Amino acid sequence: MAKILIIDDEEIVRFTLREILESDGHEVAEASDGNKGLKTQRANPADLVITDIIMPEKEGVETIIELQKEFPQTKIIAISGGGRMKNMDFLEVAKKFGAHSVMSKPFSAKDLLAQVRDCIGE
Amino acid sequence: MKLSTKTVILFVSVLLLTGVGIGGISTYVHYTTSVNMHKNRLVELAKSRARLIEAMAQHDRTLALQFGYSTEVGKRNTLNQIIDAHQNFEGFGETGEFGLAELDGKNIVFLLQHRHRAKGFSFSVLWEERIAEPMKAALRGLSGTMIGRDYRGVEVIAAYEPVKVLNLGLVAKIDLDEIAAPIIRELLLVYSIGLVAVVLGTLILYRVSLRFFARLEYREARYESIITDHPEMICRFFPDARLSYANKMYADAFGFKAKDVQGMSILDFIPQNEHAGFRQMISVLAPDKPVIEHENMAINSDGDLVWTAWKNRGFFDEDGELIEVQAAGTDVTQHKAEYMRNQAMSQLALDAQVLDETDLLQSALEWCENLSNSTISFFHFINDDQESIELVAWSKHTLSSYCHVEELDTHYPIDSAGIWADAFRNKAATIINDYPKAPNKKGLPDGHAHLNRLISLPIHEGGRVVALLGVGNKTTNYTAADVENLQILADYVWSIATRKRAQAKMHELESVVNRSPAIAFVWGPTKEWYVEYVSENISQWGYAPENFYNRDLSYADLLHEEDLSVVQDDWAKRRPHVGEMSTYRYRIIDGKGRVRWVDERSWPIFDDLGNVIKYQGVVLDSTERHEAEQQLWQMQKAESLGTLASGIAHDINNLMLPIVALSELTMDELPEDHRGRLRLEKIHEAGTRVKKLVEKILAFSHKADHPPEPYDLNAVAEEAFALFSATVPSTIKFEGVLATHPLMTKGDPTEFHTVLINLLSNAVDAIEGTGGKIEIRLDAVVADNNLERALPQIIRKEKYARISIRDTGEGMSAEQLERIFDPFYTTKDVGQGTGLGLSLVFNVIEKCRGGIKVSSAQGKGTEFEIYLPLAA
Repeated sequence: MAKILIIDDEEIVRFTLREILESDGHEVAEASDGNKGLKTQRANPADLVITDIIMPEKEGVETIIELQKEFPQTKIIAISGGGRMKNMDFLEVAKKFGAHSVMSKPFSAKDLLAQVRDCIGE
Repeated sequence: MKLSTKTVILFVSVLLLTGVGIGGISTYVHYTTSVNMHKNRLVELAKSRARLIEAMAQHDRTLALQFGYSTEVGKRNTLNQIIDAHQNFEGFGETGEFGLAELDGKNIVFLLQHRHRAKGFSFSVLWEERIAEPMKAALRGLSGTMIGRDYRGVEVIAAYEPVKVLNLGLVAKIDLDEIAAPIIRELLLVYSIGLVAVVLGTLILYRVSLRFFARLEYREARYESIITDHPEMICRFFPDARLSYANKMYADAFGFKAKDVQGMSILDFIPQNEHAGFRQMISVLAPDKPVIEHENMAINSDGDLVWTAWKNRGFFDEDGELIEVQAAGTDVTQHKAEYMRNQAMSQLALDAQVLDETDLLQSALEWCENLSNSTISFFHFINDDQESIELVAWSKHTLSSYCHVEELDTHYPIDSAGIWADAFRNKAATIINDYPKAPNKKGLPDGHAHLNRLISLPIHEGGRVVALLGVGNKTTNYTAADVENLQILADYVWSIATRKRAQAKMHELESVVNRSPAIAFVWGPTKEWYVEYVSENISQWGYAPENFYNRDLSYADLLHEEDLSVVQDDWAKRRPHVGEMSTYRYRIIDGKGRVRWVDERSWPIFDDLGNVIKYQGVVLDSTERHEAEQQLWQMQKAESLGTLASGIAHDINNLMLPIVALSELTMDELPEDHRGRLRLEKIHEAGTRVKKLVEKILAFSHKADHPPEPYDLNAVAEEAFALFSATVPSTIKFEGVLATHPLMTKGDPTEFHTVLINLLSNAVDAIEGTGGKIEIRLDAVVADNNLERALPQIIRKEKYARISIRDTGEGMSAEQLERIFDPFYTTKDVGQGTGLGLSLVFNVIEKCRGGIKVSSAQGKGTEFEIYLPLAA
């Protein structure tokens, strides 16, 4: 079992992920943007952070860079519904900046749990 | 002559004196004649009476002797008879009488009765007394006549004769008064009548002639004033040129008082070098050629040389010798100048056609010099900064004789320019007749001519002085007339130079216009838009300006029939809007019958009343641009759809996550036989399909791009052909021709595969049912100009792969052609197509920096041509 932090501006996404992860027995924390996510992580560090890329305030790639600096041990999964910007694949960028894996929404519960397991080394 | 009282008195006096004189002379003649006549008569009387008495005495003496009485008695008898005979004899005439006397000692004893004495006989007077002079002569034995005193001492005319027989003296006499008195009376009468006649005559003359004289006087005054005030100069002079008369005009012109004319010579006012000519002219005057017209230079009162024209009339004496010349003339300097100026203008107008501007100005300067008798001249432009002068031209004469300024086209600062530039500063002509002494001379450019007199003129244009014209060194002073003439000529020269420049500019502009793709037009203001002017580059449309000028064509004839009424309606609507520029895009049919797209930009030109008299405008062939714009527009539409799609996709994907993931999660938690499992399975399935649809839409968005990789178009096409051949219906004949060499390009081969399949599927749809042929052909080409213009991404001279897909289907309308690349545009039935196929094709090709062309004719089929850049 692991402590997992979900960062996404969509409440419905956070709810879905919480449902999936808690069904698999993980402890889940939530944040609605990068800044809040970093704050939560500092208060109560998680083993794994699942973060969206496109968010208000602080977007995902920047959040990943800071998480990497402060919490080098923490694994990161980047998720995205697809870029708004032409010619930029955010998930690829996220991977380059240190996300352990990337997933494009929508994905199945099984796929997510498989990736989580992969990250926390179970 | 004036009829003054003095004149009248003089006149009357002369008349009277003459009358008196004539009266006196005639009276005197009359008197002397009368005296002589009386003398003769008295002599006759005296002689005859003496002879009678002597005869009687002789007789009595004879009788006495005969009868013996003494001779004394005989004498007494004779005397008695004579005395008796005179007893009642009153005398003759008024005062005439005889006297008969004898000398008695110292007494003269008168014997007869005298009319002047009381009755009684003889009386005597003393011999010594100075009276009875005639009797004394008679008694002395003399015979003759005399005027002397008679016995009364009264002046008488008397004839005296001695009576010798009786020793008596006889006198016949009358009073001188008797002769003089009537004559004096006559004289007085004549004088009285004469005086009355003179007085009356004078009065009448005075009365009658007063008006006559007044009229005469008036006429004289009138002629005098006419001559005095006559604007022509009038003078008279003798053959030796001495002036005898000058009217006011003449005297004023040459600076003297008309009354002082005596002693002056007409040659005083003619320059030395013309004297000979003047004398020659006078010598030609003759009675049979009394009038000669003549022109000469003259020196006027200001010392200026002026041109004068004269009509000279000679007056001759009886021998035909010239005695005087009358000359009437005017100062024709201005006429001469105007004539010369007109000549100059005509010549310069001709010069302007053949000479360049510099030579034209040179020619103008020569004329200016001639016109003003100058020997130096210049023409300088004021630069646009209005602070410096461009020294443009000096006359050739100036340069050869005076000036040696090296650099003509330098900028000479006005600040340091001398008074010759005052015309610029004052914006008015400057005359300087004593340059060396003029103040504020400042400078002349180095090497500049020596100046003693100068006119500098400004030439105005649009309220600014744009040039200066100067002339200098006339031998006499410059005058206002010089300024006026030069100003007119200078303005004229400037206007033709300006016009010449404008023409040159016009030609230049015309040549620019004719080389430009835009065609310049001037249209008439009618619905047909007949062409008043069109630039020669109309040839690019396959027409010549003459086609329009001779009205074979109007502009409306060129318009595509579908566009004509639209443009005409729009034009009619815009017409009333003053000065507004209109733009139109429409099609025309060129000289070869091809359709061309053009852009028109035009504007109306109004007359003073605000009526449109014509339209001006330019029309640009925008066929290629129009096509390129169509392409570009296509690209933009596709791009914006891509952006839109990727934006929507993100949100959809987010929202799909709970549907896909939670349906699955929940489904797994439900028992195997729970009805909800199936429902959740369907939700999951639907979600998964949405995910796939979104992926398809995202194919527009560049999000889904793969990095370009090199591949052989031939190979991909071969694969596609194989796939396509397997599925194509048997009614359709399919022919795929590959290129002979590999066509290496960079991109996503699967995308190219999709493009081919998409286009081939469309071709099948186009001919399905009717049957037909689909032909696809690949080859390599080098892009030419036409291709470059037609497709925005194509670069000329680059190598491209061309993929041509042709079908023999129903073809497309122009409207369809325009929209086929629009996303979601489809001609297929609902549910048969998404309308994304050709959009995708377009997108893919554009991404590869290629191009796609489509041409279609309804009922004949459609051809797509794809160009993709070949890898080097």
